[in-house]
Amino acid sequence: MPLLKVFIYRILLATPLCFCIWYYSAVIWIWPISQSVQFIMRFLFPNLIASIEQSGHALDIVTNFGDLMEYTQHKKMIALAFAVNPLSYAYSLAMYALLQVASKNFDFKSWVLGLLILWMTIIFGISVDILKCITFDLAPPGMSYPTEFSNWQLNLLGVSYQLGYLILPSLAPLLLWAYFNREFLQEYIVISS
Amino acid sequence: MIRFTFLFVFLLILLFVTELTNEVQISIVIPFTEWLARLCSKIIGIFDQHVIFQGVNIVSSQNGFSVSIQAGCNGIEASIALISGILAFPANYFAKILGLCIGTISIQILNILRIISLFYLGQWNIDAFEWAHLYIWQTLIMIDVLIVFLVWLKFNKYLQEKAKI
Repeated sequence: MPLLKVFIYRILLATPLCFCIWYYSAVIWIWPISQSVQFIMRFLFPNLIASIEQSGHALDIVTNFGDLMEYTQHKKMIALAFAVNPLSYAYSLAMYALLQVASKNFDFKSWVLGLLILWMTIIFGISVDILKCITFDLAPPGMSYPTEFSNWQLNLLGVSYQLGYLILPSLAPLLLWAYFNREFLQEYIVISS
Repeated sequence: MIRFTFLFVFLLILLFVTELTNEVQISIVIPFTEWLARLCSKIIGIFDQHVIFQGVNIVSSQNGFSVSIQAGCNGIEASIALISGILAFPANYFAKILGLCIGTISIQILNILRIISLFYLGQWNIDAFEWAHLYIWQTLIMIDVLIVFLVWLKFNKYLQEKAKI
C-alpha cells in the first residue's frame, strides 16, 4: 500500500485515541503550564497579575486591578478576573502526538523534544491571550489601557494574539513533525536543480 | 531545506499580517466569508429547508441556532500555510499555479464540510460542537494542508522526472 495512504489511515485511527488521552489527562498537564505562565507574566508584568489558578480545564486569571475603580473617571464596574481556555492552545500536543504515532518511524526522543517546544508555544499563546484580555477586553470604553502600551506595541500584541491563537497551535506540530520525519518526506521531495 | 524553511516562515508571516490589515479584511476577507456563508447555506438548503444566512451567520429558522463564520473558520489561515509552502518550495510555475489552485479549493471543500457538520453538531449537542470546533476540526484542516502539500510534492516529482525523459 502507498506510504501516504498508510499514513492517512493511521492518522484517522490515532485521532480519537490521542485526543481522548490528551483531554482526560489535561487536569494533570495544565498545572505546570499555569505555573509557567504565572511565573513569566509576574516577571514581565509584575503589576498586572495577582494570580493564575487552575480550575479544572480552565485557567482563572486574577488581576491586580482592585483599585482600578479610581483609575477610571467613569467609576464603572470592571471585571477583575477572567478565564482562559488553555486547551485552545494545547490541542497542538494531541495533534503532534497523533502525527508521531501515525509516522513510520516513531522516535521517543524526538517526540519528547517536540513536546517541550510545543510547551513553549502554548505558554506564549496563553500569555499573549491574557495580555490581550487585560488590554482590550477589561478596559472600559474611553479609559486608557491599564497596560499603557504604545500604538506599535498594541499592534504587535494584536498580531501576536492572532498568530498564537490561529496559526501556532495547528502549524507548530506540523512543522515539528516534518523536521523530525525528514526521512519520510525524502520519498516525496526532489529539489529542482 | 534551510532556504525553504526561511522562505516559508517569511511568506507565512507576510501573508498572515497582510490578511489582518483593515484594507484586506474589508475588501477580501469579509466578502469572502459572507460568500462562504451563502454557499454553505445553499448547500444545506438542498436537503434542509430551515436554513437562512445573515452576513457571516448561518441560522436555523427551526430552532434559532446559528453558527458565525469568524477568523480561523473561513479556511484562509490554512490556505495561507499551504500557499506559503508551495511558493517557498523550488518547483516550476506550472506546478506551483496548479498546486495553489487545486490545493486551495480542496482546503475550502473540507472547510465547507466542517462548517456544515458544525451547524448540525451544534443543534444536536453544544459540548460536542465546542469539542469539534475548537480542537478536532482545527487539527483535521491543518492535516489536510499537510496531505495536500505531500500530494503536490509527489506531483512535482512526477513532473520533474517526466521532463528529464
